[in-house]
Amino acid sequence: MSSDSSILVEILAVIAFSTLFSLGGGNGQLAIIQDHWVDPGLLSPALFAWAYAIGNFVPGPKCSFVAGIGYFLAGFPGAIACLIGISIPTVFGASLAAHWHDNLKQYVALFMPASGFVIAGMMLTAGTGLARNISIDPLEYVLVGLVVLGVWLKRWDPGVVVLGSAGLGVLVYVSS
Amino acid sequence: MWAAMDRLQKELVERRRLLSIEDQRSLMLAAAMIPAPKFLAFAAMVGYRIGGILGAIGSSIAILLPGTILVLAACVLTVVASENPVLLTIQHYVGLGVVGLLAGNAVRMFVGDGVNRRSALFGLMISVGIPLYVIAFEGPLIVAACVGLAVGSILIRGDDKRGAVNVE
Repeated sequence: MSSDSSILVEILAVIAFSTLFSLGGGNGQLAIIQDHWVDPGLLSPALFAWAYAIGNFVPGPKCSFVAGIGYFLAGFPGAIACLIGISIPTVFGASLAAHWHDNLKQYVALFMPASGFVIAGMMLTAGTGLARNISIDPLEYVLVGLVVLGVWLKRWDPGVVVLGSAGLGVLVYVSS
Repeated sequence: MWAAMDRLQKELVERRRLLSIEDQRSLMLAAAMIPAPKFLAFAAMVGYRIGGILGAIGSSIAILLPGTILVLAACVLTVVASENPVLLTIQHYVGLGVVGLLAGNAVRMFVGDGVNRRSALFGLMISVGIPLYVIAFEGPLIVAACVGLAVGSILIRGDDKRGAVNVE
């Protein structure tokens, strides 16, 4: 197997596995991507955050941001690998659930109460990992803290946060 | 997402009568229990109900395609303009926003609702233990998450009110 095809298989496998941590609408997927490609330096933290940010603006499921991750890793074939990776467990799980909904419900219910805590831990890991990979000035931590409070207490929409951050970036660039 | 749900209801329930409103609600609830992005899982389940496995594949592709094309277009433009200093500054600030989003959503996920004190304590150990294990001890995230889920399903199983809140 060539290195090109092995990276595509790796992308497909990691994305398919990470999809399993989207239980209950959570986004544990980000932590797996961060851990697998951003921390080892295979994907820049800026591009990772950028792809996620773009995903918040497009119509349809926000998980389509994984296509951007795949593109940054391996071009268009990488993007297609990501889409296949996210579709396989979803189609399989959804078909099973639609077919045996009543039987599966009791097994899934075992994991549901804990899933929120696990995904919270994974998202905290992703956020901390990203913060360690981009250089943040002390003053910028205030901005991050403000966003944390806004998202937590006021349920700020991700699109608004991304747009506000981008606008601030433009202001900082123009004023410098 | 909810705007699209409304549109789907008009199209599938009211106009084409492919699903009943009860079916749609039941599928929405079931989609939240599948380990997959909620909206995508909902689309796949609707597709399965209407056209079997091929329907599930078709509906997944159809719902992912428009967003994916736009994401890719934006990513291609990003690569083309990658040396532009304005873009680099914007990317830095968007990165800060994303860090805040992730941490804020983590707090929201943790707080949730309908959780008792005992479960909150175990949940706190899991939520803080995962980043601590991965960052301080450089342990594998997948192991931490799987162990957290397994331990949590034993210790927190009595709390049927709580699950992940939607932060998609």
